[in-house]
Amino acid sequence: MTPEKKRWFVMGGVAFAIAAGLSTLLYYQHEGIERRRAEVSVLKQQIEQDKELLQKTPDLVKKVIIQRETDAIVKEMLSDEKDVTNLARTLNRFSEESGFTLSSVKDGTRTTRKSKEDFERVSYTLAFEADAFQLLSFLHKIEGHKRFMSVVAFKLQAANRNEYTQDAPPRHRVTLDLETYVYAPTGNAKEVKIDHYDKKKELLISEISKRGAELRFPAYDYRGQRARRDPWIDPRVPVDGGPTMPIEDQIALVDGLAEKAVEVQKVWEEAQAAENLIQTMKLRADLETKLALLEEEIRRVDSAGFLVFVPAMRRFDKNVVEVVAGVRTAMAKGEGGQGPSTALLRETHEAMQRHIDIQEYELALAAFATVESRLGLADQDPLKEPLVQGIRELKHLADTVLAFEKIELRIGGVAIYEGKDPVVLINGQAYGEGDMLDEELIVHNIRPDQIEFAFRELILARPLEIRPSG
Amino acid sequence: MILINLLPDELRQKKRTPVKLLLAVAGTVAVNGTLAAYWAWTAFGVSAEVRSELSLLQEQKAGLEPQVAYHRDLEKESALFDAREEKLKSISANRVSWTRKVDELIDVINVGGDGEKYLVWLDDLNVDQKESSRNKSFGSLKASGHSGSPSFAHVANFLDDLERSPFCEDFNKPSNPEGSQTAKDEGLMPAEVWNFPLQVTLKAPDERRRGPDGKLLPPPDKKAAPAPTKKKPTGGKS
Repeated sequence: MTPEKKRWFVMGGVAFAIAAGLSTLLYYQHEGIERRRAEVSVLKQQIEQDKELLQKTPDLVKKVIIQRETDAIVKEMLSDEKDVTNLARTLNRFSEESGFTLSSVKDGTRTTRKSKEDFERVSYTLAFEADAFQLLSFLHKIEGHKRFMSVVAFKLQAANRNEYTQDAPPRHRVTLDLETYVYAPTGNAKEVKIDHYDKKKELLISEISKRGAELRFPAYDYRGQRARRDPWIDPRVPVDGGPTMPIEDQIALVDGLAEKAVEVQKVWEEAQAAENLIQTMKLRADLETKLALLEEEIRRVDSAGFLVFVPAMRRFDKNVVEVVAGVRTAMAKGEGGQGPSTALLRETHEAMQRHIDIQEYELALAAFATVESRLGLADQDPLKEPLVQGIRELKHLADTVLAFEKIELRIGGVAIYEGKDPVVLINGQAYGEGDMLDEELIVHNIRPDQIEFAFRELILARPLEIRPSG
Repeated sequence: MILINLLPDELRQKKRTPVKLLLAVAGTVAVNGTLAAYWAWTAFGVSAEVRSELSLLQEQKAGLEPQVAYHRDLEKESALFDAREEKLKSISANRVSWTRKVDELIDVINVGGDGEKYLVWLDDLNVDQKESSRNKSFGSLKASGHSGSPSFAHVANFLDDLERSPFCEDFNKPSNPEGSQTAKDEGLMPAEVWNFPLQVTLKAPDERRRGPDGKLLPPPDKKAAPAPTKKKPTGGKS
């Protein structure tokens, strides 16, 4: 090969190498461009996604603000460690407020918490004796407590009929399982800083309260016994009692009287706490009126034997009679040796008069008995003396009528002739007007339908029995 | 053998670049020149443009990143709250207000009056919220009841009223009336008594959800459906 040819070959080789090099550069250049284009495409996509995501940020901020604020409600609703320690005390207080005492509280057992769970379950088993409405009141306090408590099971065994005919009130045996949850957050809820948090929170206040209401457990409005009977008490009544008032009416009657007794107690407490003499006198006068009316109703209920349903009777004794007696005793202690007040004497007089007007003579005497022992003191007061006199007269009237009613008078018949004195046949003997049956009883007036007698300075009548003719 | 050209210069044949070679060199130069030009175009044109776009986008992305990180942090915080609320919901979904249920039961029993419609009382009450996914049961309420009447129809009256009352909003229909008569007790009024079992099972938690006002919410899948009209307890015939 000639040198020239060699040169040409070398030159050709160099040219080829340059071409190859340029091609390689172009290849990598192209690859680089493609890669960058792919990166651009990915970035564009990511930026698009980010922008889409960021469009949701304002809503997310709102959501987090609402959640942060409602998390306070979650924390408020679920017990913390301190609450669990206090739970036994809370339950004891609830039972006392409901009117019974717990007989056993089995210690709260804790379930092992699953990892990453913020709640730990604590269970309790309670045993106690209560009537249905005490149980309901207790359940209401548990379920309406600001901390979450849930009754998961309970058993009630009704009191035996024989048990509540004794002095003790009917109490059912109850065992109750309840659960509560302790809130112990496990997650590191790092609080993200939100600009102008308070301002944003204010704007969301209605949504926060709405969400809070959704999270809270719906509360049930328990309105008490409302004259309903306890369904775990046998409502049957003894046959020998004759026709009786319906149980619901008996409960309603006692409810009404118990309300009045509460009012009397309240007025008495107000009278004691009154700041000046005028207020005290006004309240005492109001108290005497209310007390006298209530005592009148108590006497009427007692004498008529309206109450045969044992729980109603027990409630009547405890919530009405005992309350009234307590107030009356306290008032008597505060009389300071001056005897009953003018207001009391006036109310007693009026109550006796009302009883006599409707021929409740025994109740009039019962009303008199409430002040009888203290009338001696009142007698010495010239202002009270006329009232005392009036009360004694009414007592005499009631006594006389009752004594007259006890006298056995079989009126056989009446003979009235024109121009002649009328004659009446009493206990088989004939008597004319002015004749004495005994030292105190005189035939005063003989009429075709009734005979009037003069008895202990009073004129009293006995109607003639109308016998069917033929 | 060495060949020597002894001719004078003017007579010697003139040296010329061969056409083929010239064409080859020109072709090579053209190809390489084109390649170089194309490279230059891609390097300083397209690639630079793409680089610049990429850099712009990277800057844009970097600008968005703190905002995205803020969003993600908010999402994490929100997810924790969501988990708590979800757990709270599952806890409360199973909760039954037994104050409401026992109060409503007492209401129904008292509707019977003093025996005109029925005179019912109970011996016991057993309430259990034990769930069994196998039997699809969510708990039950059981009691032993008595009806003070010679007529068994009074038991049916009571169960009818119970079924129509708000008490049964959370329970399935009570079992059919059954019972047995006890020996007559002449000392008490009423003397004749029927014993009967009362048993109702709880509905699924979804069917007994209540709103903040305490009213029953429609089941989740039937939200669009109109709310059922509530029946009031009506009088039965003895």
